[in-house]
Amino acid sequence: MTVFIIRRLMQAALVVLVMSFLVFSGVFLVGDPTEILVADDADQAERQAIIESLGLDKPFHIQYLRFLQKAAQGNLGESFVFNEPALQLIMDRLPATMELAVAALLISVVLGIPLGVIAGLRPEAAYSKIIMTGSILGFSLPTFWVGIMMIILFSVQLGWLPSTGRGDEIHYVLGFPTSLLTLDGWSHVLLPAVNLALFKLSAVTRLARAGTREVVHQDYVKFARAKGLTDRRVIFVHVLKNILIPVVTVLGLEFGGLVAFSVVTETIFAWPGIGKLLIDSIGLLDRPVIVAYLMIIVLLFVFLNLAVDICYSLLDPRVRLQDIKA
Amino acid sequence: MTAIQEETAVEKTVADPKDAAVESPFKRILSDYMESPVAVIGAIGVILVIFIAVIGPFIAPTDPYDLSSVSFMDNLLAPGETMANGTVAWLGTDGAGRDLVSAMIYGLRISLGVGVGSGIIALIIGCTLGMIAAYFGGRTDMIIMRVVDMQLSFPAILVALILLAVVKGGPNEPGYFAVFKIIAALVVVQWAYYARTIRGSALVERRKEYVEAANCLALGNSRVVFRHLLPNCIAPIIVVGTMQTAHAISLEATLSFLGLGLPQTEPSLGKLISNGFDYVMSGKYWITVFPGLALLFMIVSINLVGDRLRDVLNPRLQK
Repeated sequence: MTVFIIRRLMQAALVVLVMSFLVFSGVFLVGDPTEILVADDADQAERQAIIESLGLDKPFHIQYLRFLQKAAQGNLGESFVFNEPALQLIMDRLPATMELAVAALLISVVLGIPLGVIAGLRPEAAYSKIIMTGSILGFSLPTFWVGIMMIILFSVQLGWLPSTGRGDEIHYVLGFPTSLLTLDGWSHVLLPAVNLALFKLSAVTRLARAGTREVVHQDYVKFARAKGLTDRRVIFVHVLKNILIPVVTVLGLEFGGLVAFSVVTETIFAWPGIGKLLIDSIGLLDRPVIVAYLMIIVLLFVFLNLAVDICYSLLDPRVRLQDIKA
Repeated sequence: MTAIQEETAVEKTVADPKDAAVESPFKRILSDYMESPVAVIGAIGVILVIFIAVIGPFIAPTDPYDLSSVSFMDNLLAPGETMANGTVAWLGTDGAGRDLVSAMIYGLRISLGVGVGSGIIALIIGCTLGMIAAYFGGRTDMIIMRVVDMQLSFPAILVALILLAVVKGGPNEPGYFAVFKIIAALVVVQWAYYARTIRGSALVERRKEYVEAANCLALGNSRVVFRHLLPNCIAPIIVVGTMQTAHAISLEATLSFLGLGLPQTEPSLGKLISNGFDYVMSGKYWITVFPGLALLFMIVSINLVGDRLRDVLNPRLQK
């Protein structure tokens, strides 16, 4: 087991290193940030001073090594635009994104599993077909378009829900800012969270349906029914428990996907999270912030994949035996 | 195609010797396909989209690129109002005074072109690499599939975002370069799916007798791969190709909406929706809604076709 974890950790570190090189060289090669940072009327000396102060005059490999050295100390550079550490900027906005992602995850589980179970128990019923058609739409409609339609319907036409920001009433829980404690906060989070959840909701519904259809034919469900247990007990205890395993795995794995997709949702709903920060920084060619965002996301993904791999190997010893042999 | 035809023909004769007239697999697939009315509607939708995209410039009421014919006086007209030059803007005009019907027809061309173009390039690259991985196996296989696995562990939108974010050009970059960039990003995002798909089916096919026979005849590697192996792996690739094209179109629209895709000079449907988003709050819904519906129509049609093709082409579901 230890060998397996060490091996996976080394692989993960390699992936992070490769990605850091790709990201840094890509950002380094293209786009000249001095065009934006230096005032138009600056003379050559002022220009040179700014370039030197940012270390942009050094050759590529020196800049990269300095970046790695600082990154290892948790310093991903200073934002050209905000004059703040890039990592700090991201950490300031991370709670908002996490709040959105967690809310979306909750919505997809709380709605997706019951919908999937209902559709799986009676696959031929009309309502099951409606649910499945809905899930196909959830898969194929572009997230950003659905978001715009939601704004047009609920914010502009009906005026029920606000369409931008996360509200003013932000409270701190254990040091984390959250707007989920007030009704106003919930009204702000509802539209973006539903928008972000749609894709996952469809996925969870389909998974739960497929699982239910498989499980209801198992002997233990037949036996439970033969024992005369109520439908409710059979569904909640025997069926639900057994379909949860694949659903939970996929959810864990796809949480990173939610964070990545929040770029779109945050842009539409002007949600002050890291996705919107990324899009703004790309517009301003704010190199350190782009690099820092990408590194954080890569770390998040590598960590999630690693965690899922380790969980798998704990549950299924065949996985780690195979890996040690290879 | 010959290999498929021969094989199916043999199967058919074995299955039903009395059936003297052997129908071609194409006809069988077509008649199977037609059994689902929803899929037929999807196919009609796809044909319609392609038709509009091809003959676009001839049916568009105005040329949205012709600056002399676009008047700022016409901006933000509601659907059905008449423009200064007498044409009726059936779906209204956008913020620059362009007729929305015309802009959508041209946008459709760009969206479809970028989606299909990137799909074809990704298909060629992915299939070649997947085939190489399956045919040669060993270390080659391991390296290619490691790259595929690594890439597929990140969501497509993130990979495309990283690529477009790091190679973000200045405001003066020429339009064709932006088109090239987005196609390149979409190719990078898609090739791994094709590689994985074709490797999977090629691994199964490789063990079959006809490949062994071809190898016994001492045919060259490339001949065995392209003339014998590839034609028999084509069915799943068609399915993945249709689904991926829809996905690519949707992704391009999303990226253009985020301002990372196509520039203002090459307005795809996504860019039109993005432009219209600025006016949503003031109730001018049409600039965003109608291009969105066109995008939706295109994506859903392609997905319906792909969904049905998967059922029809899957040998396990036949008989």
